[in-house]
Amino acid sequence: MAAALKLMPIQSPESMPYWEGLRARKILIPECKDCGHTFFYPRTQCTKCLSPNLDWKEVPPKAKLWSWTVVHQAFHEGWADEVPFVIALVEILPGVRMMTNIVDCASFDKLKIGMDVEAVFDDVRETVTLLKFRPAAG
Amino acid sequence: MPELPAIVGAYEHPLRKAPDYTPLRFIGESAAAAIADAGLTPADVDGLAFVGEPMGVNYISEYLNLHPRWYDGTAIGGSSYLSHIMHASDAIKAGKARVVLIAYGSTSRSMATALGSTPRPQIEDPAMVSNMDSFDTPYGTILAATYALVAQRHMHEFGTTHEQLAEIAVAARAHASINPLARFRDPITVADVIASRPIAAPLHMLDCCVITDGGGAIVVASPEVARNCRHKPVRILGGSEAGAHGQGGHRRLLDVAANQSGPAAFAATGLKTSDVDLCMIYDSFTITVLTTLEGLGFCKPGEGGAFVQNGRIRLGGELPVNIDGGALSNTHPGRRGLFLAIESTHQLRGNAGVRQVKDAKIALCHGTGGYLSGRHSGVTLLLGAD
Repeated sequence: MAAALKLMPIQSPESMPYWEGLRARKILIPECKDCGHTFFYPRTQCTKCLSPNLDWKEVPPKAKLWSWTVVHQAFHEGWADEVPFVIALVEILPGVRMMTNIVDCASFDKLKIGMDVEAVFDDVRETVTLLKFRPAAG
Repeated sequence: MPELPAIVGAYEHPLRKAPDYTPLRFIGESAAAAIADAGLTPADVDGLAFVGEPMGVNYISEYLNLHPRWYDGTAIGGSSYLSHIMHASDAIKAGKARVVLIAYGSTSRSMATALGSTPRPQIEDPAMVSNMDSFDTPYGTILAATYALVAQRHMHEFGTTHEQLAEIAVAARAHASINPLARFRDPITVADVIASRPIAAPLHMLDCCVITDGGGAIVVASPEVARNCRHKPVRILGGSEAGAHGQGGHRRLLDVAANQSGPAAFAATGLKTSDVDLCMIYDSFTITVLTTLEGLGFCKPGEGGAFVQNGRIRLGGELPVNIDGGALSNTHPGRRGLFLAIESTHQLRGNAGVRQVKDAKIALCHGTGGYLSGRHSGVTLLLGAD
């Protein structure tokens, strides 16, 4: 019941390859063909030189934990059944960081900034796959 | 001190819960009281600033039956009101207005809309369609969490402790205890903060601002008008705005807007941190104050945790911060910016009563608007007594 109330992303034309990539279990990050800059979230221009000449770079399904928090208070009914849960900022490429959830985390005490995390492709809806992460095995 | 535009009227509405009020009533009562505090009349007002959510200034102009020749609808979150004061000063210097009214009112508490603490606006709403929100909202990113991410990173990089953060809440409550208007007045300890229930680790409930109803207003006037007002003028010395945001994923989290607006405000006014007698810093959360003090240059990056200890930021300390009790204990109807300037005005007039900072000549206000780990504005404003 509560799950239906969750806010879902808008898969806009400018970000559609990213969302389609996740459905195909690939992580695609925009990269500027003119200056080589990589950035996130996807948009129609490079965040360094504003060039519209962009490409999609597939990156490995792993990241490093940059910061994290455990949310204990459900401010939105869509998440009421999930507290406590982890929101994190992870570094997917050197200098490129994204918001995500850390899932399959047996103990929050294990979370350490800098630790390795691996991608989890979570098909939250038929047409929506979210990129989440879990502590890396081993 | 040169003759600069000044704050001549200030009023903080005393109510903290008012189920029978509308935001407009708070705005109207506050506006009338601030104009009276200045010794002016509504007919003197020729400039109006209001957070310009769709056409907001138009509505307030109509409600108060004003006929301004200058408007400012800057809407950059809770810091907006400090921008309004700065913009009003510039407009007065340019001859575009003589008396500017800035007003605010909200019934966040009675409406049970903890403004800012819910997830971002429904991104399905076409009016709010934003590609950028699609990359954090679906993860359940509440406002407190975005501040918690900064706190966690600060602890990691610099060894800042929960106890150090908690002192900011304890100091605010100590100040609130001598402010009869404050929502919460019972003193608390560092242990109380740590023991309060977790909201978004490492932030506990007492690390988070209160939710109140409330309102307030400020009147800014030209030097000529200020000479004949009821109270001694509080000069608008200058300031700066800045923004911080995700930088295409390249932001480090501790690079808050104050890092830019603080030094720029000091450069614009020729003042230095040692000139400041008191600070009013938007304390949405304890971590906001810590990172702001560092950004403004009162201590080095990473030293904020140690800086706030030993009574330094309490009344009687080296740098009293949030002497009214702050958003953490006095009032936070959703946007705090105007209250920073109202308390500063009382302090610089020397009429703050039992919470008066001795010999207060220079006050620094800093507002943060938005999400500390995401996009937010920072506005630093310096005010001075003649």
